[in-house]
Amino acid sequence: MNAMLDCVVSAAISWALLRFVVLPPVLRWTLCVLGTLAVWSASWTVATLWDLAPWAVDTALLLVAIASKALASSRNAKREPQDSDRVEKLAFFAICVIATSALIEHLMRYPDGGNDAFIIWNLRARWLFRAADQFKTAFSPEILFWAHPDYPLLLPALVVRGFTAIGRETAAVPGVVAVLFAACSVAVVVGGAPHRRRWLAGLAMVTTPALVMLAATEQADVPLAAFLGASVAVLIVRQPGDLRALVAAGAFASMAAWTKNEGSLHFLLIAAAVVLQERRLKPLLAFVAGALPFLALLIAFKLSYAPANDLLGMTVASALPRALSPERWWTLLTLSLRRLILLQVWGLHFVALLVFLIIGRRYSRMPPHLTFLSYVPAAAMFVHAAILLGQPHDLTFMFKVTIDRLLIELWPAIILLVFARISSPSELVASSHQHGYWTKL
Amino acid sequence: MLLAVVCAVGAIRVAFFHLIYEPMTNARGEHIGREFEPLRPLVAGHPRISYISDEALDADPLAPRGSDTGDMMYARAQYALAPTIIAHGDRTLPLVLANFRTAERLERVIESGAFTVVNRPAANIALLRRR
Repeated sequence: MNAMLDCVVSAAISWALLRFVVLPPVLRWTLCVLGTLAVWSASWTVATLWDLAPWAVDTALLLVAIASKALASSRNAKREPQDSDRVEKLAFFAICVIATSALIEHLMRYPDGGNDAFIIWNLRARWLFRAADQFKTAFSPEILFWAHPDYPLLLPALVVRGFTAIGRETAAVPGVVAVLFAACSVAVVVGGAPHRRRWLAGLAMVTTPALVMLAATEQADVPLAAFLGASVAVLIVRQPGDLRALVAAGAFASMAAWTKNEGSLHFLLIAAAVVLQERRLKPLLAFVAGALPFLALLIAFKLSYAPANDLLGMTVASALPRALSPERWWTLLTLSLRRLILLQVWGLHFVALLVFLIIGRRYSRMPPHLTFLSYVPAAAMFVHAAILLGQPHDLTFMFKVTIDRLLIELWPAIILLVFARISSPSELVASSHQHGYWTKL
Repeated sequence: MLLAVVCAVGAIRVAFFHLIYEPMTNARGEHIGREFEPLRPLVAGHPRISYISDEALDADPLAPRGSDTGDMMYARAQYALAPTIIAHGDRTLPLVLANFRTAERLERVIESGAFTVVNRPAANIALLRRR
């Protein structure tokens, strides 16, 4: 009962705060679902880890929701414009049915998820659920380091919430969470793409084999992709000078940081893009203000409970020779080229992206407000490549077990940025006017 | 047109692999760590137990990984027995989880006389008590 009440409160605060930002309807509802999941998870974490009464956390959240409703007026888009292409829309929903069936089939076949799911995420969830007030043992450095007890808790806490609501452990909870986040990562792309091409963008996302594969194995990278995509979508559709949109973008980027350690890197890169784009203090403050609650939670967790990350013990002196080794660079290059044409995981999606980057890029132009944001995926992959080269384990093994997950984290953002680039400025403005979000202020 | 081909290939791949190939070739998976479930009530009151195995573990995060089999065996046990910590580095605790790849090696450990068997849910797995 309490868990469900907390869920209603989380939905109320997400809905109340998102009313301030002018967004396309599909994006608004998707962000509302993502916000609800993140707040529901975080309120459990705050109440449990810092021994606060759940009613006190709920009351605080409700007060924020009520105050926000009283203090400012809504900026909802007034109407949903007509869809221009019914064929694309039908194809999108038909393939969504196929992808969902595939997802559910795999989840039922392997109920505990893939390796990372049971070694890290579902292990932590059942540990926190079973241990109750002895939860600190879940972060013991005595557990084998591959279980990564230092990882953030958004996903495990959400699964604990589900267990608590049902009253027992069941594989259905992480399964439902995986389906929800996969759906949100697709919906974020549909909601954030230019209106005329949104079903096409959604098709590009939902037909990516890696999305179904990684969601079906309950990897935290799909939730991270959804939060990161949400932040990028808000930055794409925002109106120039709209600080409230930057607050929302900061909030969703910080939820990505509270999902996985890589999320902190993505958060920093998006923050850097905002700084470079806006070159003023106010937009940066707005972005950081939105991020503050989840960043504070992340920092408090890292300082109070999480053991040190295993890679932090690595010294520059030991990592540098590996990172500069021509042999490792060559291995990384050949592995990357092979991955580009690995049909089983990425279909033809990467080949198409490569064709676009080589040819299509010349005939398109990134909207000016996205210039720096468009470099975020490449910058993130550059940092990941440096970490892969410098880390002490076998490069081929680490590449194979991490690369698809790192790429899927960025995939919704990449699709959104490609579609923003191929849409003419008039299309973007027309789409925005239809939603009413460049004309309302 | 190019995008239509890309999406069609992706959709066919998803449908073929998950809805046709996988159901035909892979048996439905059991719950991970099911083999350790009988031990759960026996370790429930113990915050930590020791761990022995005939497979090495990758316990040093800064050393190259070399014991995938041992790591996965440990991970399955820890997944089943949480929230009891399987303290792989502590050889002094009274209760010991023996998680072996081969039953013969576990047999030899039991015959050594250093432990009594508390429970043996599988030929290669046992909960032991240090004498």
